[in-house]
Amino acid sequence: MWKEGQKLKRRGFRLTGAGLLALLFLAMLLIWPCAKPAEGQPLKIGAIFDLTGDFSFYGLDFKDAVEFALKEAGGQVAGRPVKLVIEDGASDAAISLDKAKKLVEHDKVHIIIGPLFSHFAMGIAPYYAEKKVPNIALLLHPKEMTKFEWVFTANGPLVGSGYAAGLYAYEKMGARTAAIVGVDYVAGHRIVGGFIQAFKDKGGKVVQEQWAPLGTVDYAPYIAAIKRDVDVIGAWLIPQVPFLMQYADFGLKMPLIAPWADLREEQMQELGDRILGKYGAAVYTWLLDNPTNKKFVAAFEAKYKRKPTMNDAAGYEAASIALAAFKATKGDTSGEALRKAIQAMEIDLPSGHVTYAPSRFGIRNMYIFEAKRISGKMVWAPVHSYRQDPDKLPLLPQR
Amino acid sequence: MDMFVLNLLNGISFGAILFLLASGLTIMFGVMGILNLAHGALYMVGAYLGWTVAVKYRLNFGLALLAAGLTAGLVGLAIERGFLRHLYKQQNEQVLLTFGFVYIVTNLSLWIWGPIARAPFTAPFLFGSFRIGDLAYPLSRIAIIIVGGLLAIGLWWLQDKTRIGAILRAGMDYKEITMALGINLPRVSIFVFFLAAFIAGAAGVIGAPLFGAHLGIALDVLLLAVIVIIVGGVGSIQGALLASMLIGVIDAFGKALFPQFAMFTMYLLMIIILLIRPSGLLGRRV
Repeated sequence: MWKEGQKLKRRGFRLTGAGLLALLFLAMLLIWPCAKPAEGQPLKIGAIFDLTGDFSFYGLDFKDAVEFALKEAGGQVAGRPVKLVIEDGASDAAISLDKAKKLVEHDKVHIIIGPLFSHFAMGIAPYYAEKKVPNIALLLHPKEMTKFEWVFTANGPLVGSGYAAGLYAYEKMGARTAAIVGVDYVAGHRIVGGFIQAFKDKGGKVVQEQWAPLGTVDYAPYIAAIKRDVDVIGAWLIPQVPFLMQYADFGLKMPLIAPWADLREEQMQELGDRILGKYGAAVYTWLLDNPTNKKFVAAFEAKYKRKPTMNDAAGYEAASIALAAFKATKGDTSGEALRKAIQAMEIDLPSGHVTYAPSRFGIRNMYIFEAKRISGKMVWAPVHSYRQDPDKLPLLPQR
Repeated sequence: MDMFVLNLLNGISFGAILFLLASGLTIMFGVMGILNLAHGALYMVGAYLGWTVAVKYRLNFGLALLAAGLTAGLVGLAIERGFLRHLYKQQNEQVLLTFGFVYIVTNLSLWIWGPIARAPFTAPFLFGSFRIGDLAYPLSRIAIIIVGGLLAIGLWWLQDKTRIGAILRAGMDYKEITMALGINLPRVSIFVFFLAAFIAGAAGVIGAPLFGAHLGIALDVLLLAVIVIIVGGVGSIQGALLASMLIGVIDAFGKALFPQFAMFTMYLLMIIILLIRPSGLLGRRV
């Protein structure tokens, strides 16, 4: 169809076009801004949050809180500016790993915060070790995380909150028999498993275990099957709110403790009187009575016009630890120096006084809350606390 | 005995929701030959809208139901009139189109309502439980059973006792002859499509105590509806009723007796039915 001459002309055009594109690409590679690690350069904190996808409601809270922490510090520490680079993990393990690589190799961050989820974080931990970048966890991780020497989890191992809940149920709620309903995946087995372990360790009997698939919304079959004659129910599901609603709707009256009380403010209000008088174990509530927290709550509320949730506190604390590490090394941004500084750290955070055990989990308070109505709003009010040494907590068997 | 009654009621209430979903889908498929994969998305729109009206603005629950149904009906109608109409008899394209609408509607919902899942909700007058002696059962679920039952009766009456129902049944089996008799089948089809979409949206509110509203529900619920119409037989409302009750009850007892297989019982039933009676329990023999 094309005449011979035109064919050659078309080929000529195509070759020139390809060549130009290649040149353009090469130019882009050369002039693409890449941070240079040098003295006097800003201190860099990288963060991987799930800003989109199924877990985005966590990510958005963390982002606000971390930015808030930096602003509070005046954007600088030890006389040097601090730069924050936040990347979206998109609730996906592979994307989170890609973003980690980008933060380390392209942005040359000195410390990385996140990602939240243990199975993502465990996938990236070897990379952090290889590149010698300390990683600060946001919430809890399984005890196995201790084998990664560059990951620091101030809030403790998953088993910790469940263990505290189990202790409280036996010691303070006077329960001797328990039935549990847990979410059937790793974190569920560790957290609710911690409850079971503690309860048994104290001499109590767990007469029934039910495990619901992750994402179950209709808990009717499980609630119908719960043994009615036990002293306490230990329950943690994902999602938690439908379970608690249906628990009340089915008219169940047995005392209940959530081995991980991770309800957000609006969820507490949605549940309303249905969670009145229920207990939970967790690391933070805005009602915690210590000077650091009072200051944090006041400042946070002034800026965001709402009380901080556990996620907000977690983000703020992770950033605070990073800033404290920079301060401690007096500007030495090498991975080893920062890691040593974090390991040796003793810091007063909104959730209490925290140091790190040799296992790189935090030695800290684990609180027991009771759901109360204060000034018309449902809140988690602290009623008890346990000083938690993570290395004394049991390593639960693999399920 | 208590456990038996509780699980039976759980099964019937779950089955009622399944019936609400499947009835619309099976009517659409049976009458118009359209497998509307966006049916679950219509449910989701109804659920979210119901949440906005009933929970966010605390308005009348009946209003929420009406708003949910109407919005879903209009969205469904828009999809049919604007797009599906042009793909008459092109089943593959219809499937792709409606599936694409699932993504569009889901992302629009993400835009409007955000990523946070909405907890199950119901009308304030349905809070709490109904007690018979030692047994307590949520009022909201009893309401689901009643509404499901009313709808089943309503659809049966429509199909068996009205002219439109007769036209529907005729149109399902003998489309050309029906039209040759001077009946405006396309007009009836549009009405039917709107009705099915309306039911899907209302189902979003009626099923809210069980499922709440979240972005994944568009596909979750579609899967359930498809399983029901496969088991019950495509195009048969009675089949949808039978299948949804069967599946609901078997699912409830399955979860109670064999919790490890909680995720499989439904699919197991579907596979067995497909092996024994491929056209479904009450479907037309293919």
